[in-house]
Amino acid sequence: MRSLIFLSALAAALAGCALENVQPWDRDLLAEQKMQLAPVPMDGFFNEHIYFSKEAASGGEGVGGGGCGCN
Amino acid sequence: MQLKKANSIRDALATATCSLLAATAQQAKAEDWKIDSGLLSYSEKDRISVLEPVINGKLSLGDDAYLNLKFAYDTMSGASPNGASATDKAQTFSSPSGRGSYSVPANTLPTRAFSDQRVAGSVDWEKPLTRTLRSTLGASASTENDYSSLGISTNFAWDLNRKLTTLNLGVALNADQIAVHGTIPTGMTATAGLATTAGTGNTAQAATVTKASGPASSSSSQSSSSNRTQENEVGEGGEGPVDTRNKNTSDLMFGVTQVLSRRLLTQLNYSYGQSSGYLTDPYKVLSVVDPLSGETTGYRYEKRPETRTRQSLYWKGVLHLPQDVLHLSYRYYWDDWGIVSHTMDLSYRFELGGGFYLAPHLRRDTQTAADFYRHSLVDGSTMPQYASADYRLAAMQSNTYGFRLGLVMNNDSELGLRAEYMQQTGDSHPADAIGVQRSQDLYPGLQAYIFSLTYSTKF
Repeated sequence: MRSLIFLSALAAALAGCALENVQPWDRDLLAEQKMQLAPVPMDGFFNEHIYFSKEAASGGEGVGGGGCGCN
Repeated sequence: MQLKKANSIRDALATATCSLLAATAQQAKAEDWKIDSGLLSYSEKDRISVLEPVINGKLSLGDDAYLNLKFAYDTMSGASPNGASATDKAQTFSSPSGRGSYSVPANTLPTRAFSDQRVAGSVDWEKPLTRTLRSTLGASASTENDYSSLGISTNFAWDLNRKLTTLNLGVALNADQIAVHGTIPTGMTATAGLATTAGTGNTAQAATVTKASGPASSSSSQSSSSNRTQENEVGEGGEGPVDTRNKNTSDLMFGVTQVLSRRLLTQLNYSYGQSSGYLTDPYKVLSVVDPLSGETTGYRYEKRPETRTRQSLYWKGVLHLPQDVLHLSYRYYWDDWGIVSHTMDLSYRFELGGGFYLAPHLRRDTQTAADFYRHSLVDGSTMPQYASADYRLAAMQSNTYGFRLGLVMNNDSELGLRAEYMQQTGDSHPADAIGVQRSQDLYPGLQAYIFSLTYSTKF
């Protein structure tokens, strides 16, 4: 719960003061596939499957997707 | 005349409108589908191999709405550690149903042969609710011989601050069921009809896969039909009555994505997840050893708590250098099983020219052990309420090194090949090892090769 409050405060702070005022016409680099949070979604999907079944920790990047009897 | 002119203007306008509409339709059609496909080959040294083809289709429904369909088919086979420790004598184990048994030679990590197939599918519907709010509804299902899972999820993304900030909220629910042919064992009870046997352990029903994992490996080779018979008895894909247990999982994620500059993007997520129900692995046991000699005197089925609460903080940064791009992430994970993990992931994409790129990748995960992790149990001492010798619940370190070679083609298509090596290491010689245990590797570790081929295109 404390983490949630902290994150909400952080989100509000970030929303109020972006470091640089990036204009819509300056978003060319941000729009590139290699600048996406998951630049190769398929490899992200494979990694999630591998590490979910081989390590105790999982998740963090998002929620949803199928279950697996591998863990 | 006037009328005729008006008609011709109307006709011209109609023609122009139709042409525009047709052009728009054609343009939309040009990018109606985005297809992502991939083939994963995952193979562990002496243990499990997995081959997984996946296809994902994203269909544009217009008005910024999308339908995402995914289908995956896994084939898994090989040998999985059954939890028991290696010892200086051959060992024999029975299946959960008690109808089959398998043996491993002396000084060899006990593994259980298995093969399984998994079919998984999911559908996601992404739709803008307002100019700044997008929602995604998802459903997923998967089935294996002894496991099935159904899931639903919803995600919301809210753009703020002229789309420089995005708040994300995700909720997911999963209902899983494990179904074993035979009887699912009661945790912490002694396994039925087991004994350590002197000699090579090459019994008639032996069906272990221990290739090159010990000096007696050649004596453990069996025909594939023998493997299959034993496998059916163990319970995956067998016949006869089925024993089932349920497991429910709910996950919540709250995150913020922030554009920090024209070249820098960052994300911070907090996740909270809860699982309840049968979280034990019915195929895993623990060795019970003599308090003085360390010799194995029997085995007990493992038992894990019926609930688990997981939390994590995940941070990611993406930096665009003049040409190259750096991806760096860190996850701090903790749960009420006593596991704390730190995961760092780094990839750097070098642009090689001509559409080619090379992205070396490093990943490092360090985790502490679950409170109930035991490499073995001591005969005569009070048995704990929960115990598991699953190597994934031990204190360990996992390192992955590799690279991805990609080719971006003109028509928005991309071809990629990834090659990686993963290694897990733990405490092979723990301080509390007794007698003969001291000469055994009590955490044999894992080496795996990961290859993936991916191709994505739009049409």
